[in-house]
Amino acid sequence: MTTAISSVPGAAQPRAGLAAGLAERQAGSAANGQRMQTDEEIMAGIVAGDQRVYADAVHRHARPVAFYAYRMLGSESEAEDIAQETFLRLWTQASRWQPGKAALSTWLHRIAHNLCIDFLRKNKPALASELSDELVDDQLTADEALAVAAEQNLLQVALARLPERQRSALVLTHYQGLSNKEVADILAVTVDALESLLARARRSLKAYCQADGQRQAAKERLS
Amino acid sequence: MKNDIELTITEQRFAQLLASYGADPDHWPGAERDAALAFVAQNGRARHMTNEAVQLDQWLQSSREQQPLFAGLETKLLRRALPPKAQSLTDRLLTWLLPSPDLPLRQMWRPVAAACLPLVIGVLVGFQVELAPEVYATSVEEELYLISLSDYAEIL
Repeated sequence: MTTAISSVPGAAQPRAGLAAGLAERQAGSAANGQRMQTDEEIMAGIVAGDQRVYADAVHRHARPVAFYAYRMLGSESEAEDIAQETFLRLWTQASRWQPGKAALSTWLHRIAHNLCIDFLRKNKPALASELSDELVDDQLTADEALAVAAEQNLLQVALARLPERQRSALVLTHYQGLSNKEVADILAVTVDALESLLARARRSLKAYCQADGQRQAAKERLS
Repeated sequence: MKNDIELTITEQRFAQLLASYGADPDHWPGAERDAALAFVAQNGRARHMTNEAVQLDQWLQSSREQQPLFAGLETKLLRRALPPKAQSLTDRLLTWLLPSPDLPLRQMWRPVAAACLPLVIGVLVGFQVELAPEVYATSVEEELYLISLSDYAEIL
């Protein structure tokens, strides 16, 4: 108990994606004596057709967008396609970005989110409707979860089985490191509604988590 | 309520935070983080609740090790040809007025524009001159009216 709680305030676990990428680039830029461009400068450059600024934006934001798409779709190649389309839209629709309304990373995540939802609706219509939030089982028993993913990555299976809005909420909050207001903005819901989505997602995942724990314990016993 | 910095937090709200955001304070809303941390520090039951949430957080965290590397992603994205930018109305007007050097008619464009310039000026001057007779006519009518009054006064 003490071990776990002491790890909470530290929270020094590495954050893949946005935060880590930004930190690396900031450190690199500082070492080179270069100043990080603001979102406004980047977008002004892209609107003006400056391809070097566009390349900077790609280096800064491509991976977080791809990681998000991967967690939403579960496929590396599809995630790359989503990233391609997102950055194409950055190039063609940069003038639509409004500085005070959303950070560039939030705006890109919103584009990627919409593309992922479109993809899911085209390819998995049964999971796509708003009703699916209600229809898909919120909780599986540990046995069911074990049966579903005997040899697979149980976490990936668990994420894939979440209704899309719950999955988006969880991925954006937990993995992408966005604030609750940014995530609520991307999903076009209130912060209260976001918290409800997150709570339901975590409740669903808990059964899988317990099943995975049992599986690990069984493996250890066998070995 | 969630926009302002909270100084205290109830157990119910703390449970909601854990249920939604997990046990990592970095994921908690900034406005409530300090109050929630203080609550954990003072409350044994809160610590127990946090420990339960930690297990799920750690499980979620484990998937970071399994995510793809996306090797060469940036290169792939930058290799793709970008479409030309859509021009604004002003840009399109300027492009029309100042055509590309590649256009075959470009050589004729400037003499034509120069020839048209007097015509444009003439039309503009014409509009100005056209207004003058109306002003003049009005003033003549008024003057005749005044003269007629004056004649009438002389006859009397």
